[in-house]
Amino acid sequence: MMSKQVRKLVPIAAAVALLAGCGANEQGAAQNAAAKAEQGGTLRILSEGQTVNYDPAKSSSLPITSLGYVHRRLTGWLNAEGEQVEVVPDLADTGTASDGGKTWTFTLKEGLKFSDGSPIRAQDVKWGVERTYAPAFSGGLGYHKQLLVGGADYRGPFEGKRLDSIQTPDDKTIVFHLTRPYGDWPWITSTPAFAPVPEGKGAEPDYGEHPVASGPYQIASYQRGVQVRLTRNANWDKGSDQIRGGLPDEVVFQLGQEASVVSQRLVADSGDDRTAFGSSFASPAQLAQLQGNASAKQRLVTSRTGALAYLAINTEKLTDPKVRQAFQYAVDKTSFQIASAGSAQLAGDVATTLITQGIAGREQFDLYPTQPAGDVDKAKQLLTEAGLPNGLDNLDFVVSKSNDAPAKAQALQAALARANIRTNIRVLDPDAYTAETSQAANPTYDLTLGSWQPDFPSANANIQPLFASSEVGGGGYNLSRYRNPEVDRLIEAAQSEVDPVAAGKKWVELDRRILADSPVVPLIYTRNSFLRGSKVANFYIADFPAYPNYLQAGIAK
Amino acid sequence: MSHPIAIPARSVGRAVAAMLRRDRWALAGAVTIAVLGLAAVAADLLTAIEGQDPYSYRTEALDPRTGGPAGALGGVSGEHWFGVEPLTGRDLFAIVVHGARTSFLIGLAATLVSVVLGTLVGAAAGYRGGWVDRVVTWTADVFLGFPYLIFMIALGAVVPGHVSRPLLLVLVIGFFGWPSIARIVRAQVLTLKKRNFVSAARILGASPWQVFRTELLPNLWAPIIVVATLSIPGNIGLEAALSFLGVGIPPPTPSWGRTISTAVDWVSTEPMFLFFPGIALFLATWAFTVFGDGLRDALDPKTDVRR
Repeated sequence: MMSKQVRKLVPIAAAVALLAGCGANEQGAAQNAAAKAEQGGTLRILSEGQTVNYDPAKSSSLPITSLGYVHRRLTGWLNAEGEQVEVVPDLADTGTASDGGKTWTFTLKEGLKFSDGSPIRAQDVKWGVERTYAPAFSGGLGYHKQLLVGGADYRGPFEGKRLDSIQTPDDKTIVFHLTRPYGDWPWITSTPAFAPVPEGKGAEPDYGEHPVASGPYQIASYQRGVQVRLTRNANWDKGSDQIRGGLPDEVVFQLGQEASVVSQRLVADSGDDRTAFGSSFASPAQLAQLQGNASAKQRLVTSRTGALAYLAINTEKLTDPKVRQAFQYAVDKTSFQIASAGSAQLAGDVATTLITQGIAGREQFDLYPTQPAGDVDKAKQLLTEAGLPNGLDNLDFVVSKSNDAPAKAQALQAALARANIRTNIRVLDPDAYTAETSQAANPTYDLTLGSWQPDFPSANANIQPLFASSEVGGGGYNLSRYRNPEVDRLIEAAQSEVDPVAAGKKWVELDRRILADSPVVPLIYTRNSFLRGSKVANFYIADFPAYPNYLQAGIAK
Repeated sequence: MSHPIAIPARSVGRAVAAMLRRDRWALAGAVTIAVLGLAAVAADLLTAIEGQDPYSYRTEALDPRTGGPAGALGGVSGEHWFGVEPLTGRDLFAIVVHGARTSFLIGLAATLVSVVLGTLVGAAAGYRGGWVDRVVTWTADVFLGFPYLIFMIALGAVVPGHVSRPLLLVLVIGFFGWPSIARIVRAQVLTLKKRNFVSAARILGASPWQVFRTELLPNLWAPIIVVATLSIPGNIGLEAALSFLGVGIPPPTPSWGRTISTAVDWVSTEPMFLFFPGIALFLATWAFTVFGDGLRDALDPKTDVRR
């Protein structure tokens, strides 16, 4: 479960109130409406990465982005501007629960075929899920791994053992037996692990470079660091697929592109770049420059909300909740907004809760009411009450080199210094950062920056990965190393609740309960901005997740 | 590089004074060094007069639309003499003068390290000869061809966080600077040791260390000063390069290289943000280079005086 630094988010019901403050997005939408996406053409995606991962077992890709071109999953997401994202049938229906939510049964659609012409069977989905347990194919989203009976010590099908809690009574039916009731299971089956892999295949480590496709495209050529070219999969049936437009004839990922160069190319909008979009966030400097360029500004697509950006306080080092509460008042969320994207409007709203905007059942509250710029006196007073009249010295503030984190950390460093909380910023390469914050057994950091977008639009995915004690170290994302048996118990109770309204209430209660301990300081609900070329149409970011829907984008004539 | 520089008959101080009178470029370099050095020493005072500091965020000095500086020329005003940094509103004048302190401290300290190392190693090689000389010469050749920038970047990534970065930079940059100094000192010592006064001292039973201190060193100062001055701009530039690449001085301590690195992304909308730290770095390296050139002309009778 790595590379969670940039994840997905959840906005929805509350987004109505936000519409007024979102000029950039509205213009983008208007432009999209003017040019209609048509069948055909080549869509280009400019990517910073050296590879595109098409191995479903190793993927943490959203159901609406790159992996969705090649692989279908049991369930999928249907999202559109202004509408709440829904979990919808993809290969199968959205499942029926029995045994109080502990057993889930899915029925596959008729006539589904792989790119090699063979039928897609329930056994192939089972094989795909089993494959994710193999140590050689770890790294993808693993929400299902502990939930399936026997999953805790299963090591994948290549050692000869099968996972008996997944049953396939016939080619069209697949049944999952869970260790406990789990209301969000149909969302879990939309994660990459539930993409089919032909039974018996996928043993080679580079399966991701030549997978058997179930989606509208297959991989025609794969050159690491150069490009990946996707061409049509003749065996994909558009009639059975409601979440993929399949409009372009080809999709080409151009890899290893420098972010600032991508931005310059898309701003210039000439030649092939007119049919391209950038897959990474536009940086603050780029956003500021776009404000003076009417054409480029129109082609900027900004989400209405997004990941929760927060300051994680290592609760193993700073053990006194009162000291941690002082941080709630010491931070300056305004300067953090400006450091993130130049203006509050592009950066996103100030955050006070853990559950992100738009999640069903979310309640807006603020346990530590103050100005966005903070309340230095209150912070000092709390520190004095905690026996630290001189503040704190030499706190180790570790951040990753990527995503402008050092600049954001400096904004917080300056704000904390106002309240006599003095920090040293330690900048690490992304891999070293992940090793230190989510894998090390006894890390030394006091503070770090986190950013979390739920992997599916449920408060469960806001809270459990960040605050359950099972997520401390070992690849988990509990960066505060927050361990509270009471919270663990409440999380399990909320996860087991099959009624969404009742579950929503339990999650809100947890949101308040955790923030009272102050393991993190919520900063902003981050907006993401992406640039597209003038011929890319139907390129939108819906309320959830805060990423463009790749599967619906097409080329305008 | 290795001009055999002869021993000056006059004292070094008087030679420098004469050179400055004669060589206008060297004088300009000396004045620039003095101004920048003064700014570095008095950075706190200067920023106090301006009423700013290089650490405080002043979001009110930014354009709320873009996060860039409010006002023309990057926000230059009576309050912010060089304008402000985009996205933070930190005062650019304060960053530049405090950055001068960083650059000078690291540049000079690293030069000191390489001078000490290079002189000792070079003198040992020249005086002892034999296998010591061969080892030193080979090592110096390897170091001169070593891809040290890559090595420093790698080192910056693996050294644990609690090691002081400025100290690490001084030691690393200084360490890689010794071969050029050692070569010159070695060449000088090779000619000196054949001179009668050195032979006399040796015959009278002086230890190598005594010979080095009392006989060789007084005659090595001139070439050492020249080569040291000429290596300062390189060291300042190296610190800036490492900070530019993100493995130099950690934030928030101001550093020209880091500010330039940030400013590159802003050059099309906020050119002044690149201009001020860029011109400061240019002036510092230019000044030490022309001043060092002048020194070499003055202290080395073999080089023709250019003007």
